[in-house]
Amino acid sequence: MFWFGPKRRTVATIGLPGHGKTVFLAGMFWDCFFALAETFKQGEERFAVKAVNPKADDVFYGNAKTLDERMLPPANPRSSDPQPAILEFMGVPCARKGRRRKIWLTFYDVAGEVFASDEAALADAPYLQDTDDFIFLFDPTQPDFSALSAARVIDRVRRVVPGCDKKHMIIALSKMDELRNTDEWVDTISDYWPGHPPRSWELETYLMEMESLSNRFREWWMFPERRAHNLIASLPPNTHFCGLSSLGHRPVRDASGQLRLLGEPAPFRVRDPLFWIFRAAKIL
Amino acid sequence: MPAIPALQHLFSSVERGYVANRGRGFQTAAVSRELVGTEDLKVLEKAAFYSIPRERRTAGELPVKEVFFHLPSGRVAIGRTVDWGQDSMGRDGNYLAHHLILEREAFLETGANPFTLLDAVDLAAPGTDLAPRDLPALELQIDPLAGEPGAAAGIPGGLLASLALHLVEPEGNGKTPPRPLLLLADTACAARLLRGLLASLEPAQRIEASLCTHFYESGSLRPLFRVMAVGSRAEMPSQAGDYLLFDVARNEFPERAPETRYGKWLDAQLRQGTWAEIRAYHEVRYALHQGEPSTKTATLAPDTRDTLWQREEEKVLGILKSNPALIAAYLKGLPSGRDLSNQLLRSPFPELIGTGAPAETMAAALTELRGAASPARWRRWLRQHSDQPFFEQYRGDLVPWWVKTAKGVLDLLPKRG
Repeated sequence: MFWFGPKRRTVATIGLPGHGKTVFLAGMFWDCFFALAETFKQGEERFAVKAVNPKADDVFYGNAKTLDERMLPPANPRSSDPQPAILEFMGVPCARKGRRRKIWLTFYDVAGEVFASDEAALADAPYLQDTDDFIFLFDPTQPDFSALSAARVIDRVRRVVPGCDKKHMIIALSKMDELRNTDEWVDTISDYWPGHPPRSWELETYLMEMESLSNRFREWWMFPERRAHNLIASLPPNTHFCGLSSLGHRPVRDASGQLRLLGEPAPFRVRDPLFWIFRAAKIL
Repeated sequence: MPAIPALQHLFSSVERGYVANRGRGFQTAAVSRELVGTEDLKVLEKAAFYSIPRERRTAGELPVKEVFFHLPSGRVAIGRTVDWGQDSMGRDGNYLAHHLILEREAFLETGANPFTLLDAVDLAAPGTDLAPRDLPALELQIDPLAGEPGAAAGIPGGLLASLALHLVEPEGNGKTPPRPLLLLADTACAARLLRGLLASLEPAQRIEASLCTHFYESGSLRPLFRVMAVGSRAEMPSQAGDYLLFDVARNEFPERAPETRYGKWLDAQLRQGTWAEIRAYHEVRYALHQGEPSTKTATLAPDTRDTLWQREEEKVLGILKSNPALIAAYLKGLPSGRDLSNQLLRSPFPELIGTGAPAETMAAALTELRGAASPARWRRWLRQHSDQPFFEQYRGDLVPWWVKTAKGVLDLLPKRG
């Protein structure tokens, strides 16, 4: 418990292997660093994100540099010693004209294989016990995505973290850039694409959009073809939903088979999970 | 060389692994059936971890990680982990770990040098088949003397000696666990150093020297290893104070004074870089354990012979008996010759010298024994062999020293009349 100084929260990104957890964090940092730092500037008031520890420097600045070079961050090795990467968000504006606040978020980004069994999650992700915000990230374009596989991962985390339902859970869908043109997504996404980072005075509207999108994504999970009624029914009522694209476009394989970006990343609503966390921390 | 069985384990990021319903990602791809469901397999999977600092990856510098560690069952694992390019999703950062698993006794039979096995078997070779399957046990034939102490040539002798002493005479006297030894050296240098170091140790010491040549972000694996290496200070584990640091480039290391006779010998050899002498020591020692004298026995330096005698008393006595030429050569200039001679002189003449040796060979052996043994022991042995032809030659030795002294004094007095 910290009585003085900035608020602190621990964030865990959770998902199946290859569903974009690392790229999501890279896109989120990219968005904060390049977009929000500009749009949240208002008069003398500034917004900025800083790496507090060396791991954050490596994860966030390192991956941003990789994206800047039009490449993708490497896969996370399966480690039993996950290291925290702490970011300081300063000058977070308040939607209701309150004073700007500062918050430290501790991120853990581990290989998805860690969530393949209760035993592995307990052994290799001990930080889950202290986590305040769980971001469950799923890529619906992956062949192993289904309501069943998603529910299985979520249930596993709820089993290994006592009192998990009292914590803040976010269910995020990635790859919106690839999915927005498919029929079922047009209505949900097309109104918001390509989106733009909100200015301070647009925050309230943006948060209302997030609420609306959360409800629509919750509905998406309830589409008959998703067969996810059981999953949604089991989630705590305060669970938030969102959809995002970490890069804004699909990377392609070059001649050597390596994935490369065709242009600069243009993340889409990658900030939404972050804003949900700010709201849960009562600073936004 | 006997054939030694070795189980296998392959770990990588694959579309489908050995456990069918686990999905894609980092997992055991193929493994010997005997390991399935064991605690050993869990440790092997943990130890497969491989991570490269971003700068090294960007520069295309992809270190090879070589490991040797003990498993919960008592078996030992020797492995190599390499960068394996992209995973099935096209992401960089995939790796392949290939482990061999041996019974402890079998590993000791091979000389307990993990680098000998790593050289003999092409682990994690390009094109390794990662199809999920049961892997057969390999039959290995390993030369127990294949290690080369000279691999460490060029490494500062003081640092090498201190590192060796921390392994053979660990701090804490067995009451507290010794701190792990952290090498700060580029991967190639660390591998050279460890190769030379292990080849310089005896098998019983090698088997305790579990090691990892690339320890980046591997703090949680610390209990598995006694010696680990990182490429730079930036790669050092977060709790660096828990390790004893050996900085090869700066030649900075915790000094350690040898406590035992063997420690003193090893310290001196490594400081002087007398690789041939260390190698000869191991060849002679190995031959001793096979019950045969090595042709190099007589050519060892007196200090080396002395160390060998102190560490392998029974076996040295065994090869010297009935071999007068070797007795003469072994005792020549030996610092602890008295002890060895006294032990030899507990045996009767036929057993000690044998029969049929040329007279001059026998005489040389007796001369060395007589010169090195305590006078009392020599006289006692001589008295027991008064019926032997050589007795007359040494009869004078049976006169007590005080008689000889008194006689000498009397001889000095002026003669009467």
